[in-house]
Amino acid sequence: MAEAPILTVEDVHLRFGGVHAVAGAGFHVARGSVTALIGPNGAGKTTLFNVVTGFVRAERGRVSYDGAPVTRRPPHAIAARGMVRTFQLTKTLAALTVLENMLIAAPRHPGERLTTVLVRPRAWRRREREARARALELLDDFGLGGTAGDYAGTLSGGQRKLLELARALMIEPRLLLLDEPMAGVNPSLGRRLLEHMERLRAEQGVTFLFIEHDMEVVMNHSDRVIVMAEGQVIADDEPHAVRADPRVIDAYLGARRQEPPA
Amino acid sequence: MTTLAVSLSAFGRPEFWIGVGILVAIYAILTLGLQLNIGYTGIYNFGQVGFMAVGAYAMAVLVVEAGWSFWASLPAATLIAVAFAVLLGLPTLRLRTHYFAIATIAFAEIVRYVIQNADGLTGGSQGVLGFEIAWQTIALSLQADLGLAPELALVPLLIVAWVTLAVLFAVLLALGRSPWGRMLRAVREDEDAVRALGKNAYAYKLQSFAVAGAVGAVSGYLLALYLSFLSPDAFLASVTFISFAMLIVGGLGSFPGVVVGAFIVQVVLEGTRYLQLPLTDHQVASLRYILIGLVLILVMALRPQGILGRRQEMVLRG
Repeated sequence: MAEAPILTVEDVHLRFGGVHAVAGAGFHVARGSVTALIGPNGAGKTTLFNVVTGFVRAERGRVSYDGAPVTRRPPHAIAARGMVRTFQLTKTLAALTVLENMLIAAPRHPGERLTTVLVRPRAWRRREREARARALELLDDFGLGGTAGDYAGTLSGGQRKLLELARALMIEPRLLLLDEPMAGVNPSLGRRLLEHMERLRAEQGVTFLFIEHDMEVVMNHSDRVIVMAEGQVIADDEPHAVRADPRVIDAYLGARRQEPPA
Repeated sequence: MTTLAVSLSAFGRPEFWIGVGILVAIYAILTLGLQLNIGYTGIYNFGQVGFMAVGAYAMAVLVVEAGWSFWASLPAATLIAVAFAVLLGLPTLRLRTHYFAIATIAFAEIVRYVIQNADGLTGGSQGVLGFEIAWQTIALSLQADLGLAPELALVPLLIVAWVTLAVLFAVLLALGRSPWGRMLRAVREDEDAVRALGKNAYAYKLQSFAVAGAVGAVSGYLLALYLSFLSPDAFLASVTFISFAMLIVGGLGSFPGVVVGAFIVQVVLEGTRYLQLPLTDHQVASLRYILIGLVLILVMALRPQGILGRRQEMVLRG
């Protein structure tokens, strides 16, 4: 028997005005897999990410993560359960230091509760030390150790992508949703990012779902590829099979734009 | 013709500095709350004077109308101000920055109009008297103990105002440096990033607003003792705007900057009383705001981050 999927998306619908951005999309993500989500611009990939992670509420449809529905849960509650996303345009906290960016993500921190800080001002010191040690370890792993004290806003675009991934790892995620992790990253940083993904999966069993336009990355680094077009999933298969699928080629080249998708 | 003259003798009199000192402390406390909201959390609270009014009137009404002791009324009035902040924040903190700003201005004005018109409870435009008897007893005995001359009668209030400021300053500084304060700064930078990291950005905004409400109420008690008479005219929207001027002069994100800004702006405001100019009182009142404007322009030109603000943070915040 196959293990239950870590993420199940069923029949999600969402319209923006007249645009049916997501029109009945559904798929599974297998536990421990690296799954790519591809499709032409406007296919609804990022919108679907927003729905899955609770940032946007779907009109219809169900999302369940790790066996429990998360459809109407707020984004912070979903992230705290271990389904963590990154953004297409990185969201670093510019006027905080790199280390502070990491510490914001530290889970179960009593120092983040107003009452604890007011009533027991020392009770959080130990957790802060632990979180700091973990943050510095991760920053070293990602080659950002030297920047810990710098404002995050001074990092290069590629370094910000690394910081966002490192920061997400502070939460100890089990499913990472990465929105175009390679975009705007130079090739050597990109290779590092991919190595990190491979290592996280191998060592900690982290599952990845990532949106990507770089076909070489998609074909060589994923076990499964989901293809979206016009708000629907038009293919869901192994990379080599997807590459040969005529519907996928049509979607990218726009050959059958006038016809409703099969 | 009256001659243009500036008499500096007032600046040599202790009464001037005692009065300025009390007002600096009151405004600094009010502005500490604003700093937490604007400098730390990035929520544009334009109604801080509303909490000052709610606190002062809740205290006065509890003492005068309900017969509470002055000391018991203080924590109760603080809780009332916090409840106002939570009730106002719950629906409005979901709004984007400028909509929230408008909602808070409206709140403060509604509070003032209600005070003005609920005569039965607040005395309306006639104001409230007689809430500070418990304090007067202490102030008089302190005055006697310290052997203060009658013109120094406000020294006890000066001391209490600055001790209160020192305590609240220390508390807010500790809060600001705690992981809780770090989370507020993260919310200021990007709420969605904070949510994506598993933290409830909305709850932090609400907490920040509630703390500002409590701090605003405390400044209201001290103002009430200073005036020994509460009227709605003490809580005009201009109080919040003066507080903003102090915040900007002192520097966003800096609690020490609040005290520096409060001092500079208050000296300009009070100092103009002693300029002898061929102007009506009304014109002098306007002139004070022109001078505050000039101070702001000067600070913006020479040190846009404010006197104690951090330039790099201002640039990165964009």
